[in-house]
Amino acid sequence: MTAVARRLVRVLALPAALFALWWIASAGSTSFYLPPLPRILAVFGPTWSARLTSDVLPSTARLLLGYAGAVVLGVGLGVPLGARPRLRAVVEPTLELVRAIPPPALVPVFMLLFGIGTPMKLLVIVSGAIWPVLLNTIDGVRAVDEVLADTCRCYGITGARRLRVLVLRGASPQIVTGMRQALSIAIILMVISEMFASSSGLGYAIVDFQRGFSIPEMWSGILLLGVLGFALSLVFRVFEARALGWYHGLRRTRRGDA
Amino acid sequence: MTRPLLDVRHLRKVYDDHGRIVEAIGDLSFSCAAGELVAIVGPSGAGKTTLLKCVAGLLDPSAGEVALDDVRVDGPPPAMAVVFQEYGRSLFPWLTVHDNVALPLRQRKAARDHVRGRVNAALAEVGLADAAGAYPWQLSGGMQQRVAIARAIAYEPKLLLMDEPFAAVDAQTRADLEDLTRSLWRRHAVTLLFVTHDIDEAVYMAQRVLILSSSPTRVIENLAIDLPAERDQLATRSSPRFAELRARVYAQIQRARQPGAAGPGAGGPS
Repeated sequence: MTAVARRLVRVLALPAALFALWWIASAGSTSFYLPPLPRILAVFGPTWSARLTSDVLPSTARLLLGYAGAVVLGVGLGVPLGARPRLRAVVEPTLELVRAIPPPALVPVFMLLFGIGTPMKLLVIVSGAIWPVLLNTIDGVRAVDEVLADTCRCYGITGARRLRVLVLRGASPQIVTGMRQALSIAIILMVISEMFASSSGLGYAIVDFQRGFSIPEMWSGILLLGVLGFALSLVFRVFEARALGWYHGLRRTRRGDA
Repeated sequence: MTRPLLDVRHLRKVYDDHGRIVEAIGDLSFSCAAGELVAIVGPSGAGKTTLLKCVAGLLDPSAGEVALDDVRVDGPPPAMAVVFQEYGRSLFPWLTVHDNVALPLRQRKAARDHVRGRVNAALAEVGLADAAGAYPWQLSGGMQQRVAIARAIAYEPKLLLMDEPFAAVDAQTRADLEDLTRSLWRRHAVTLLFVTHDIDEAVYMAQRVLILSSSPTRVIENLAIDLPAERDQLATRSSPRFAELRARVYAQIQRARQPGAAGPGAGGPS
């Protein structure tokens, strides 16, 4: 067995076992609210292929747009805050206060101000997913190595090249950590924003099925969210391996020395 | 007398460490002619790194001034390169060896072919032509410091500063790097100012050794090293003259370490 196949088995073994357990445990279920797994799977295909363009794609688009907005804003604000201690001292207490507000609590406010359309949903996603990116970027930029910064000064490396080569790359391990946390927050907020006064999206569909007593369909929506989250985290891993290849290599060598 | 390339006049550096005034450098003057190789030695805590950072324009002196080519230094001058002791932290771990050496040249907006040529030549000079595509952390400590030296050479500075560049490598690598640095210095006719705490290294490498007192730092002796220009790890280090010079520097540093020994007129060129 090759190393890749062995890894695949290790990764998939537990989910497969849990799935099998669900299948067996729900097999003879007569409960209306807990239908057998085969029934959920049977409605999965027809339900979501019919709702692909009306719900699945709009949700995914909002998720990706809101997430991208959170990353761009978080990094864009985090770099100056990390690099300027005085600015940080002024802004940080306010950030801590604003951060303490749970984003779902803002949904009613955003609805009043921006209506129930896509802008409101994007704002909800950005307002929650920005925090891990912003705070990790600040930490990462603060921790940029002094000797590297001196090296840049000596060789006259300034401006955009300094930002790209020293600041953003130096902070990239922390930035990526923040982006990973932000991804799961963005998924949660995407669903929540659609559960309020909405007419499309995965969150809306799940609530709609529940109200219409289409319980297997409701469960299949939850399953779809799980699959969506899992797929996005796989894509994220590929991105991380590319962006932080140097970092993992460096850490492996340091561990080897110790 | 020819005009010096580097002129340090009455340099003084005082730190304010949370209300406690620390006088790192007292009153320090020296100069280097173009093309000279000067070593700075002193007891530990003599402010050698502070001095080098002031010369490099990375720290502002509290009083006095540093001039390079008659221009007052108030920020890293463009004709200067620095090799730091912490090679593991002065190379960009996310850039390949080639890109590390090329980075300062790209900032100068040199043409792409020109950059590639200069980088390859510099890496060949330090014996790392094959490592261009590797990342710094894939190399040994000595090889990483060679990359830092190649980066400095490719930059073609008039003044090259080195801050205890070989303090963190093993003895054999250290000897190799000493000889490499001397041969690069002669080939490129660069002015080399280098700080070390190793007396043997200072005497072996330099044309002139500046001996510093302990803090607050002054120059207690400016010693010309009259060893032949061709130096050899075995022959030079076992010559009687080397032993004499070494003993002289050692005695001065021992004296500098005695408390209160660093009063005015304690030394001077002999």
